[in-house]
Amino acid sequence: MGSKTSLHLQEDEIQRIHEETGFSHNQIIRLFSRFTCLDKEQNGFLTRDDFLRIPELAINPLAERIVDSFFKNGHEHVNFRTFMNTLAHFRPCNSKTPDDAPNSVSNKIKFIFSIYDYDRDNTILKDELLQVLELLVGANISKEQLSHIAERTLLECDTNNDRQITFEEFKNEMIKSEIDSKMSVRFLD
Amino acid sequence: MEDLAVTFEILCKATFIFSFLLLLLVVGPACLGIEIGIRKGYIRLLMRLFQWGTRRLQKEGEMLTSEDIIEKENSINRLGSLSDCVNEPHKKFKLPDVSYLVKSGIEAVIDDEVTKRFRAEELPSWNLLTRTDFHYRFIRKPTCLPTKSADICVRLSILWLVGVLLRYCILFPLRLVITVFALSWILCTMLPLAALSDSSFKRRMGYYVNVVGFRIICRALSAVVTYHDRENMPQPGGICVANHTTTLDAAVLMQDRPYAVLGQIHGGFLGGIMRIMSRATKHVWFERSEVRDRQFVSKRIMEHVSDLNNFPVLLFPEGTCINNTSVMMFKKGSFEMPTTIYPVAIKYNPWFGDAFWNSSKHSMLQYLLVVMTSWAIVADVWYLPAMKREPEETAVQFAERVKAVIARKGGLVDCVWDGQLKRMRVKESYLREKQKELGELYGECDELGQDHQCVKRVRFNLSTTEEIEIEQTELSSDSQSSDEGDAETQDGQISLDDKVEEVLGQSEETEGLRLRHNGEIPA
Repeated sequence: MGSKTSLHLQEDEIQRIHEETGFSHNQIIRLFSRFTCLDKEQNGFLTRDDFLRIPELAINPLAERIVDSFFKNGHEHVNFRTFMNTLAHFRPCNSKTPDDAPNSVSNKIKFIFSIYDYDRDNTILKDELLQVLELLVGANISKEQLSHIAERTLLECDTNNDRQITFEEFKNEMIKSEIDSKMSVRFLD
Repeated sequence: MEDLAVTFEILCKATFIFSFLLLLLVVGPACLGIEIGIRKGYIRLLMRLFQWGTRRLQKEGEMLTSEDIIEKENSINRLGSLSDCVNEPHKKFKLPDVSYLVKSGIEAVIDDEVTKRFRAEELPSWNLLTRTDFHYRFIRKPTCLPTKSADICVRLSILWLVGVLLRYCILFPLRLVITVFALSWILCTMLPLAALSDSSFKRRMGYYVNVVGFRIICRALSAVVTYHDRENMPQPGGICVANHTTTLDAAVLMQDRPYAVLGQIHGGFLGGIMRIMSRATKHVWFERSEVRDRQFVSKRIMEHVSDLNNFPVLLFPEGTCINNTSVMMFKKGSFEMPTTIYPVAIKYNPWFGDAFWNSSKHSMLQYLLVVMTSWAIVADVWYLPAMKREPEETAVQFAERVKAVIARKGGLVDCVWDGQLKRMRVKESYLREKQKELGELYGECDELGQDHQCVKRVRFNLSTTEEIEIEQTELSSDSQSSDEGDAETQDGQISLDDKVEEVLGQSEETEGLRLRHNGEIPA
């Protein structure tokens, strides 16, 4: 109330985001409104704190990793365009969705892969699995048992026995479980 | 010299006429408790204007179609359970499992229950105030609209300009004068009252002086309040609890009947008024250091309530202002005492101006400035039937029950989150809770095998009967139970405990095998 948002969305910016992400005009305007709502200091970008201030996200065991996925290449700020590019992975897809679109099955899988692949070297090691498991369950499962679970998960997916999960192996594992619907958010028009 | 005298005379006459009108149109009706209908007429006119604007915007296709951005599917609430995170009956952690939490996190980023509660409510159309969201673009950037909309842009811009002149040049000074008058009126009427010793006359006068004072304040803010179900109005000896949007809530309620206010002693502008008020009528006020001491607070409230000569206590158990779209967690403190609770629901009409006081953004005076330059304050107040804590009910459960009643009546969203999240981060323990749930799920699954996991999940879902039914069918198929078992499931009469025992018993035989199987995996 009182002070109006200092930032306004330019029409060409909307157009560009529409082409990049496939979001409709109305969706982009609504998400921009959400973006400015999260941007508490009104400086035109979001910081990690802005994200973690959302209670429903903060109680998510994977919150840190989910927030990481918005901050690519070590940037400390997320502008609206990057914000939208990350969200675009969660648009529903169908058989006609081109493979290079952000919401293609392959890119959705890549998104989850990056949740595991902490050092971004395109392979998941047992240590990385273990880290995610620790985030999930905290101190509620003993280290030995977690290690056991990580070991078993690794062996299940590691088809060429090199003790690491490559993206191809990961993809084969994911495709079995209807990942496209699990990674699609129901956006309204 | 003569000029000066003439000017002085005119000024005197103007002041006289103004005072006369003030007395006739504001103070007189306020004392007698009648309404002339100026505010109501003004509100009706505005309503028609907004309707016209909305219709025109609809025609141009410039309306927002839906309120929500997304439809949430994986919401994890701190009271919910994560057990359906692994919704297929598989027994171990699998790589795709994280997708549930990832999607849930993304959904929270796009839309969540808490963040939007501390921001001005969004309207589906424009109410000709620049401060409300992006509908303002009709004036700012007419070029962004298709040419056919140019006409409506011009019309809306003119209307907006007329509105600005009216609100800032006529209404605002008028309101300011009446407010100053109202405050001095309260001061003048309460000071002699404060000198009187306690008697039934003082109490009767106290009632009258309070109500009239707040009626004038409400007139100053063009507050039009409709009171529903006045037969349930709070009575002495009880606590009135209401949802909280702004400090003006108190004024809105107090023009109908006086209350004793419970609160912290403020400093500055507000503090001064509070001190004068407390001399005339009994209020329950605390120093900042005393507020932390919950027992002391309850003791003081009980003392106050037990004297039927005192006004009922007015409490806002949310503890902070919410933007009038939802009711957030009620602090249990006020529900621990064995007194009658009078719930009251207040709903402001967002069309005429946003009543929400965002205290982290505006000071009290800034907020009043915004309110006084808005169209008006239009509110509905519902008095709800008195409630008492059931013998077996805890304070938290009772608070939940009262909150649900208020939310339903006021058409507000019943939200489980704590309003203090406006300023604070969520407690880490809630995250730990989630981890514990997941830990129990995965830990047990990987150790003991599938049957045991299902038992676990039945315990998880005990709160919802629907899910139990589903789980029961799963149980019977998982354990490949005998014909007898299937019959029992279909019957639906069998108690859950029996079923769980049955599965546990059967799984004991297979458990050993499973463990050995797990052991075979090379390390």
